[in-house]
Amino acid sequence: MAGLRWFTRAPPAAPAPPLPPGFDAVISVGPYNLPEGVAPGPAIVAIRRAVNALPGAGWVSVEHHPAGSGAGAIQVTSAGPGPTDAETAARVEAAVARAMAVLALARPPAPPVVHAAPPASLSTARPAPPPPGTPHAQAHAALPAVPIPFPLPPTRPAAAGFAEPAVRVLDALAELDALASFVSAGTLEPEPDPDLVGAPTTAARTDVDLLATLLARVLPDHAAARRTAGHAVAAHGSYAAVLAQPGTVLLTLPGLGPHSVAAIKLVHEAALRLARATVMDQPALTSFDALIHYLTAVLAREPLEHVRVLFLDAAGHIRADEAQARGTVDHAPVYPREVARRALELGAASVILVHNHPSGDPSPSGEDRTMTRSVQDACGTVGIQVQDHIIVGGARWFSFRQQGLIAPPAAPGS
Amino acid sequence: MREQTLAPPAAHALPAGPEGHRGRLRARLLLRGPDGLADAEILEMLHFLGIPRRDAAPLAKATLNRFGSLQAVLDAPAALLRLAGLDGLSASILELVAESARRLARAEQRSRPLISDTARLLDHLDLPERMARPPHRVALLLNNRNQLLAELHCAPAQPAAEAAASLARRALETHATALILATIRPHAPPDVTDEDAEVTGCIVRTARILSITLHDHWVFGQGEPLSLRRKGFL
Repeated sequence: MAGLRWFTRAPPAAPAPPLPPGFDAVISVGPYNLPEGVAPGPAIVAIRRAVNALPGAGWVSVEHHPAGSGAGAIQVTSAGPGPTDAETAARVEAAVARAMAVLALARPPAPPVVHAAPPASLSTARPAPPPPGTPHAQAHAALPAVPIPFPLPPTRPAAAGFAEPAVRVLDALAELDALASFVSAGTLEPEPDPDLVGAPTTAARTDVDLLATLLARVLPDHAAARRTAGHAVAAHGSYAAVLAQPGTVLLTLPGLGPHSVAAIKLVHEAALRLARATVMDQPALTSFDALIHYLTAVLAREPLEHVRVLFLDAAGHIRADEAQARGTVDHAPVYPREVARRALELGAASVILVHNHPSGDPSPSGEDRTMTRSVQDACGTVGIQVQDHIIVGGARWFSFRQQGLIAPPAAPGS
Repeated sequence: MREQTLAPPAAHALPAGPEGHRGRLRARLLLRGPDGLADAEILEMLHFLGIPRRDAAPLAKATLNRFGSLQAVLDAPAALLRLAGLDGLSASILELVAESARRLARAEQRSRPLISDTARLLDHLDLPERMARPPHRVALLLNNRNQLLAELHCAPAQPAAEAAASLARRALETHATALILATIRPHAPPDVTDEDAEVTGCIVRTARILSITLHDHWVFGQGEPLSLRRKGFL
């Protein structure tokens, strides 16, 4: 997964010089046994979070070693600006203990975290030694552990597949921390945010929920955000349809002003860039589903016909995706000469034509077929192949190549 | 219609500092479209939604550098974003973008009534119900597949030119390419009045200029429905 890229870059190995200035005070604590039933993934994340939150924390390396009893053992190394005295080490230890305690609480069957009071020590920078009998003390009791043979094997924390209750606890912890930092900075009133704490995951949220989450960032309160989101989704049918509306249309909806419209269009554009990045530099014809998803995101909700041309290199990877002319409701102009010229300019080996039918019916008109042939002719004169012509009509699409209207590309070397 | 517009406040009206900066970026997004915004600016504006009143540019640059690309940032699980120094609000906005991309990639099946022949037209108009109402005229706005996009109730006793203009406005708004008119006079035999002929003529002229087809104008009353196309008015 692309999002893991930075994470796999190894943090500075703890005792190995040279460390960058400001990261030369190294504190290493552990190893600690993981509480029974706690998966190492959430444990690593929770401990890293807890240690990271300490003042003066720099790089934090949390390594999991599967040896030992139960779920394995954890070694924590923090490299920061210092100091390295016993007090700081105790604070790191306390932070680890805190995270372990929360993880122990999160083991199934855990109550939803919104209803659970956070551990009292969460907001204090220097927790007092835990009173006996508390989860803290239990975690402390678990601390002395098996020795770990060095060097430790490299670890790669799993991002996905966390136990659900643990993830909920982690999220709640993060929100609490974020809220606390805002409150201390005097920038945000600590108001309850139903969309963040204990909310269902985004996949399960309704269209109104999603839009309300977004609008809550720009509107004064959640009630207003929900009301406005309800109006907008009712007017346009879905969250995606609201995103795709032009700004001028959105402004006519009740409750939406320039700030809200800017937020909606911003998320729309960011989502489109994300969708585009997933097909860019990918082979077009072998990852056809991804391509259709991208084209659906870009074109399916357009009220007018748009023509796009995808330019492919010799290996069939998409190298450029350019919007051509915008047409009217039932026609868009295509200039075959310009398609061929641009393909030469970009050094493309082949092109894919794309346009949309706002009516939702993707079946090609006679004009669409004629246009395809003339673009094929124009490109053929300069040795560029038209691989496909895709028509997107709402939730459906039509591929000239798959319907046999364009010959499949000749196999290389034949 | 409300008085709000997308026009930005005049340059001197925007305060200096971060607030003015945010206003300028917003104005660029709304007025010149998103294409001119760099990935870093997009990310910075997403951070605006999570970070009130603080300079978000350094955080946006740091996040981009750390993850390598906008795609990697937007794809990253929330736990990683939080580890990268983003608080819960900012991370939840980025998660929302990824979810938005998934929603955009799945088109909703829109079901619009199909008005492809007179039987379907009569079904859709629900004549028994309309015959119980006072005389009125309704326009059906269709796309090029004869799917119903909107209905417009023509104001009674409106001058023909005005009726044609309001119909044209609505047709452009809804991206309609074809029209069907229906005039219902419950208590009279269906007949083409001077007013019908005048309105029809006016609408045909307006529609032709805008490449809109008037399929037909039906008159319903006591007796067999009457089509102005069959009568040769179109």
